[in-house]
Amino acid sequence: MSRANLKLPSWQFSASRSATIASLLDMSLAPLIEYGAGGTIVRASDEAILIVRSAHPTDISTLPQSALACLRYLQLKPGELAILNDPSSGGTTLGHFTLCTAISGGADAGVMLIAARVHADTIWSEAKKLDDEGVRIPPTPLGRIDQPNVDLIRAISLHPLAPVGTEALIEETRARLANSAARLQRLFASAQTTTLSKTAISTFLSDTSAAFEHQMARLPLGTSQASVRIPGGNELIKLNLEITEQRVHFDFKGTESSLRAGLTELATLSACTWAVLAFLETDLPVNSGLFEHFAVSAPAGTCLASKAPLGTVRGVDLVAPTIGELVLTALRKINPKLAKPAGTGSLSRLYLDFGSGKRVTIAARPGARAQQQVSGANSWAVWSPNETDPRSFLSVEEIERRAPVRVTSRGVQGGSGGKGITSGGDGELVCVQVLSDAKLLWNLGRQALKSDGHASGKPGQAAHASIVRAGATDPEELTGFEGVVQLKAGDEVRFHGAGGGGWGAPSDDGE
Amino acid sequence: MSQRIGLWVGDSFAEAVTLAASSSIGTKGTFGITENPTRWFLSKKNLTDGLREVVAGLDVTKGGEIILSSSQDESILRRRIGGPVAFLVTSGFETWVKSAPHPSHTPLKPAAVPNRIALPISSDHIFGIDERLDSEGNAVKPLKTEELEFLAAKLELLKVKDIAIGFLHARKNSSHEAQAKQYFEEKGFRVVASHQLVAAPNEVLTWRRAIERAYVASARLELEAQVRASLGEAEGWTIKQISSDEALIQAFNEARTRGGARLAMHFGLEKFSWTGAETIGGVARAGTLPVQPTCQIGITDWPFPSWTAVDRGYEPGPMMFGKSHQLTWLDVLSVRERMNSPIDAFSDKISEKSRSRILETLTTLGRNLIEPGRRSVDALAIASDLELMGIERICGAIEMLAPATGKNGQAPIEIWGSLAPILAPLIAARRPDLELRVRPEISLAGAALAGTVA
Repeated sequence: MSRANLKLPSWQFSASRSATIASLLDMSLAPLIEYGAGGTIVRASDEAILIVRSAHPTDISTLPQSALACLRYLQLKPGELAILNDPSSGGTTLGHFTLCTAISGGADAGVMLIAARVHADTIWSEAKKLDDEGVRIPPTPLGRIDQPNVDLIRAISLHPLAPVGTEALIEETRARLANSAARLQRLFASAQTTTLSKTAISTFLSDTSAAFEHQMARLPLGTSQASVRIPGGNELIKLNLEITEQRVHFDFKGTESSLRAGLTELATLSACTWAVLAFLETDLPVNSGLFEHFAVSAPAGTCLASKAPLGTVRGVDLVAPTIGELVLTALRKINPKLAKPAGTGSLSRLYLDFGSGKRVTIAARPGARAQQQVSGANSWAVWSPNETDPRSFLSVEEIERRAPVRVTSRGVQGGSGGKGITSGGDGELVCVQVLSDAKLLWNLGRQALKSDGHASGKPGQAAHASIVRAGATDPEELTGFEGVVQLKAGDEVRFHGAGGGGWGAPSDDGE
Repeated sequence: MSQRIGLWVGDSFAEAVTLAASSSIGTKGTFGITENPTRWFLSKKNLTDGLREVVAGLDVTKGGEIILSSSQDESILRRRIGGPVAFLVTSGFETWVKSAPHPSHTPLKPAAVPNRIALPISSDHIFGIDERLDSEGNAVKPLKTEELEFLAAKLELLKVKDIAIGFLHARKNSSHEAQAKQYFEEKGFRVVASHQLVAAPNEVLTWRRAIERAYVASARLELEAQVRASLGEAEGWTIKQISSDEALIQAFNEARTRGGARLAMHFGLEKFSWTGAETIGGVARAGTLPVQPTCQIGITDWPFPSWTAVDRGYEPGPMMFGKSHQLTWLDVLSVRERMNSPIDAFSDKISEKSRSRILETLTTLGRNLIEPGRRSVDALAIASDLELMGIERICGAIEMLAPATGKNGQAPIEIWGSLAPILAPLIAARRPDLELRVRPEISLAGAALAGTVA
């Protein structure tokens, strides 16, 4: 199918107002963005999403829906505050909290919702049920944005499955949400401005839609089929990708169900949309005007339209990146000239439980695949790119404060990237000695797979983990995709991250 | 009080203000300054020569104080013109500082490649030191001098004079870092120890700051040397360096104390900044405005002329100087005939022939635009719209940063800087409800002196 006859829309010259609206909305979310929390603004009257900012693939569609769930179930009024994390209400995993408040946009624009999502430490467990992964919170009133219900926040944080530091995290996010809400309130309330009028916002959304159609001209037209099995369980995901001039449809008919890894349909749409937007590298705001070009069909009962009691941690960590890779693979099938995606693995996790509430999760990142002109980035999880969020990536000092461990080494696993004219990125190296007995749960995620090279580039090394017992010198390899093992004080866990595949045939001395 | 010089050094311009020993607030107004600063274009006249002309009016033999504000650190890091640095880190973490996540990297949008800002240090210059503290600050492994001796010899061979030190848990127990710092300073190295810097949320951010601070050290010394060269053989002068943001904050605090102000915006030739007390507790902070003077205007993902993320600066400068092909927001103001008033060090560069080129560029950029009943859009209409949208962004920032409510809500908004006479009327036209206090004489050079005047 050709784009030769595609008529691009033309523009009223005052459409530069839409770029200014995007800039002002971004500025109102700045207190949240600085903190590494995702943020969204939604117009309540017609549920229009004005903007979403998030660095996690499963957030961009789910975060606005969380805000709308608060409106729907709580009839949130200006100044009121709510909290939720339930995946059935637009949450993703129970470690990702959403706070939502409403502001008055004035008589013209009506009530606006502004929500923030922050990612806390992830709870891993051997069981695969949602309620084992954290404390589940449906849309719940939390007082007022300037006077939150601190008793309820404390009660949540004291739950045995609440992530470490929950209370402080919620309070800091609330304060920043309050700052963002106040900024937005002032913008809308300003009697002098027509920039954020109802008409201007509607034009903003339609301008975004039209501008995105221009961007879609860079996508190949056509359909393709691709499939992949989820690492560790082999559940089949089948994708029929259809791209027309104005729409991208992800049809997952034929996908299997799973007993261990689930993703809600909204999170699935999120991951698919993310993959296309990352491919296009667009600077357009993510809003309703952009979303109207995407649709997903995920059959009920499959792992891509899962419901409780199935857990979602593995869904978010493992299935979402798998879908992202699959979408990009399908794109390349329509047009093989497209570059192979830089993404390779997802985060791997080491979860150490010392009992009595002392626990810590250490996430480790893979190296990225090389491109034609650019070597792969070291320690870069394309599908978990939120490098602004210090809670997802604990510093060494923080790890040692939280749990009786000594991190003996952390950095880059040199040489793990595949060789090529440009080399794949190196994965992350983490070595941790436990100072007390502990239970280790490990999950290699997609890093268990080798990242293949491109254009005769060599594959990167797959991730692997081992234990060196106290007093021993030889490592015991941890086999399998995930597992549980008991550790004694003095044992050291070593994780070697996966490297990205190289690009181009390496020279003989590059082997 | 001794005589003082406020000096600001940017990428392309410098400005200076002098205060004689007898000056005080009572006789000369806010900050003791009523004269506009002396300003010059650095590519036409270097810092030393320009400053030499400024101090000709003082008796330099009497000594005094120079407060030097600049965004040099930022510029040095951006342009990678600092000196070689070595980083000493706890063994086992040599690659952690470069590979760890950093908050400046992700703009919170889908991205296939990381937007990492590389640290200005070669991996070959990162050395692991066999020392270790635990999370309580107890020494698990002591620091050995022999290891430092070996390293000092190596750094001498590598001709590295600036060192940053980052040991784990140094904030809990700084003894190892202090010991290493003392050792290397006695050997003649310049050392930045991470525990002495303002605390960052984690060790990686602290270590990065230490490396960046060490990287700019030699350039800062060079800047100071250029300033001293303007004083000839005169002694008795002290030079204090502060950042542009610190200068603005102290100027805002003065303005707030003396006449009340809820926000100050500085429209300088190189940068548009704000300073205000938005934070809890009323502590002033500074930031950049969403519009910058030399921000390039071009086609982005919005298929009409808009602001890009590129700042063109003054090398070679806006199109109105006649040398560049890249349109900036100042060029838009130029065709709107806003740049007709003389601006020191600036106006003599505007080329009369540039107007037609700017209009042609706007026409080209606006080729996707139509107006009902016409085949194409008038370039001046595009310029008018871009001017309006720039002012709209600034007004939006005012609204968000300086609420017209509360105790300070009715205080005026101060407008400072050499471009203030151009921007202030446009803001006033858009927002006649705002009380604006326009003070173009308040420059970054003058702001640098704000904390020193009685």
